[in-house]
Amino acid sequence: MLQNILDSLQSLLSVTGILYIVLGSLVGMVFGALPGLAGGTIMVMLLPITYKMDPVLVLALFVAIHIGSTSGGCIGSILLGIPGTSSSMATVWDGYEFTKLGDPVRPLSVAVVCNFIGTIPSILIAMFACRVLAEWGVKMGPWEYTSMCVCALVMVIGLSNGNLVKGFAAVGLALLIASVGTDAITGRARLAFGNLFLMDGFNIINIMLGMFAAKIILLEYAHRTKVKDASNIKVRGFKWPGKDLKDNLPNLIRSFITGAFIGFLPGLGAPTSTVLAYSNERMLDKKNKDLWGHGHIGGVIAPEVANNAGIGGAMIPAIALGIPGDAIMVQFLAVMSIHGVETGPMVMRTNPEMVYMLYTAAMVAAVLVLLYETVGMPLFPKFISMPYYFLYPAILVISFVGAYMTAGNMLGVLVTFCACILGLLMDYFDVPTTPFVMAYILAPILEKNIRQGLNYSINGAMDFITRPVSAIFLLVAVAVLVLNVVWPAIKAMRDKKKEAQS
Amino acid sequence: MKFINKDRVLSICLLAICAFFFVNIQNLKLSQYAGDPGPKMFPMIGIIVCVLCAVWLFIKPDTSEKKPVLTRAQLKSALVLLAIYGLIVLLMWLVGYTATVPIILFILCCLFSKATHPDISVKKMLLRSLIFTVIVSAALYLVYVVVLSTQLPKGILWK
Repeated sequence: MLQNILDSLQSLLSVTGILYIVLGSLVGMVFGALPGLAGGTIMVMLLPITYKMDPVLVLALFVAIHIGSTSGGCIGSILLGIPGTSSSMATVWDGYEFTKLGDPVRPLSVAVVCNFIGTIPSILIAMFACRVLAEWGVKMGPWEYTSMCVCALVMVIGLSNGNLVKGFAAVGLALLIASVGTDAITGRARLAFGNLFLMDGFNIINIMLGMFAAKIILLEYAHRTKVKDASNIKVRGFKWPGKDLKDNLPNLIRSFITGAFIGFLPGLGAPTSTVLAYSNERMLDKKNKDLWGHGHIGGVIAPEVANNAGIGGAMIPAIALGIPGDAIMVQFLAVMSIHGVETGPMVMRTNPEMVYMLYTAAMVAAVLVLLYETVGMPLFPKFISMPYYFLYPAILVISFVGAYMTAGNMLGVLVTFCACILGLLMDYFDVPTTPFVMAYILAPILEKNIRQGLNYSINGAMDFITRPVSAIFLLVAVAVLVLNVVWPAIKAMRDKKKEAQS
Repeated sequence: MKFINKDRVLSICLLAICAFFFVNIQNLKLSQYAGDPGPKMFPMIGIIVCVLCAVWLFIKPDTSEKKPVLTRAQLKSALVLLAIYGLIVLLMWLVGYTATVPIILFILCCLFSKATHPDISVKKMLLRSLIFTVIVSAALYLVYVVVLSTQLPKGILWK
C-alpha cells in the first residue's frame, strides 16, 4: 500500500500534477462558496474536456475540486446565510447567527479546521476499508450484486421526501430510459427505433449536464437568488479555534462517525449526514439547549465535520464495489470508465495507481484547502461576490459544448436539453431526481447481473433469496421499505394522540 | 377535491410512457442463450414499477397544498432561459459551434446582467457583454479547437 501511495505521490508531484491539484482545490473552494453552484456542477461541466488528458491526473483534479467544494460550502452559509452547497445547509442555522452578531471569523475558523479534521481520517478509513471490501466483493456473484443494487435503490427511494411512490416512479422511469440502446447480453439494438445514434443509449454525462448544470442555472436565474451583497461583510484573518474544538470534542467525534457512516450508505450523502449530525448534537446538548439556532459553535462543528467525513465514506462502495453512493462518485467512475478502467472489486488489482491517486490527491487537496482558507479568509466576501452574469453564461456554453463532445453528435446536445426539461417536470410533479439518477447509473449493472444470475442459477429466481449475502441485502431493503411505511404511520398516530390529549 | 390534480396528471403521463414502451418492446426478439430471460425483461420491470406507481397515484393522489416550484413571474423567466437553451441546440445544429458560442454568450450575458442589476444602463450592459463575449469565445476556441483539437459541430447550413 505504501509503495502505491509513494507512486501516486510521484505522479502528483510533476508540474502538471501540482498545477491540477493546486488549481482544482482553489476552483472547487470558490465554486463551493458560491450559492447554487457546487463542485459537482463544475465537475460535470469539465468531464468532456478530460477525454484527452492523463486519466490518473484527471482523477487528482476532480478529487481536488470535490474536496475544495465540500470545504468551501460553509463560506456562503456563514457569511450570507445561503448554503454554498446543499451539504452546508445545517451550517446556516448557527453559523449565520455569528455573522449577524458581527463575528464571522469564529465560525469560519472553526469550519475550516473541522473540514480538515473530517477529511483526513475519513480518507484513511476509506484506504483500509476499500481493500477489505474489494477482497470480499471479488467473491460476490451476480445474485449478490443484484440484491446490493436493489438495496441501494431502495435506500435512495427511502429519502424521497417521504414520498415512496414517486421515488419508485423515478426509478421505473430511469429503468425504461436506460433500456434504450443495445442489449448488454445479446448485443442487439433495443428500443433504438432504427436510429444509429440511439444504439449507444443516452449518455449519463449528457443527462447529468441537463439535470444538474442546465437546470440548476435555470432555476437560479428564475429565483434570482443572487441579489444579496457580501461586499459589506468584513472578515479579519483566521483565528485558531483551539478552545472551541476542545470544548466540543465529543460532538466532533460523534459527528465524524455519523458523517462517515451516512457517506458510506448509497444515495444518502452529505445533506442527510449534516442535518442528522446537527440534530443529534442539538438533542444531546441539554445544557445549551436555548443557544442552538442562535449562534452556538457546536452547531457549526457538527455539520462541517460530518460533511467532510462523508467524502471518504462515499469512496468506499464506489471504489471497492463499483456502486456509486452519490452523483459525485458517479463522475469519478465516469472518468475511470471513459479511460477504459473497469470499476468494481478488481480495480484494486488491475489499476491500483488510479485508486491510490484518489486517496493521495484527496489528502494533498485537504491540506491545500486548509492553507487557502486560513490564509485567504479575509478574501471570503470577495469569493461570494463573484459576477454571476459572467459565470453562468460561460458555464452554460461549456456545458452544451461538452454535451456534444460527450456523445460526438448533436443527439448529445438534444439529450442535455431534454434532460433539463425532464428535471424541471420532475420538480413540478415532486418526483425526486436523486433516485432517477441513481437508478439510471445502476441500471446497466442491475440488468447484467439479474440476467446473469438467472442464467447461471440452479433454482431460478430463488437463488437471489437463498444465497445468504444476497438475502441480507434484500432483507435490509425490505426493512428500509417497511420502516418508511410504518414509521410515518406511527408518528401520525402519536401526533393524533398528543392532539387529543391537549 | 378536484378530480384533476398534479398527481393524477403525473399518473396519466406515466401510463402513456409505459404504453409507448410496452408497444415497442413487443418487437424485441428472444435471447438465444439458454436461461436468459431476454432483452424484454428489463424494460418490463420498469413498466411494471411505473404502472403500479401510476395506479397508486391515481387512486390516492396527494391533495395537500404545496408551495409551487416557481411563481408565475419566475416561470416566465425560466421559460425565457429554456427558450435560449433550445436556441443553443438549434444554432449548434444549423450554424455550428463557431457562430453559436459568441451569439449565445452575448445573449446570456445581457440577460444575466439585467437580472443581477435591473437598473444597469443599456450601453454599459451591451459593452460589458461584448467584451465578455470576445474574451470567452476566444478562450474557448483556443481550448477546444487549438489545444484539444476537438471535433465540434460545423453546422448543416455550411455543408
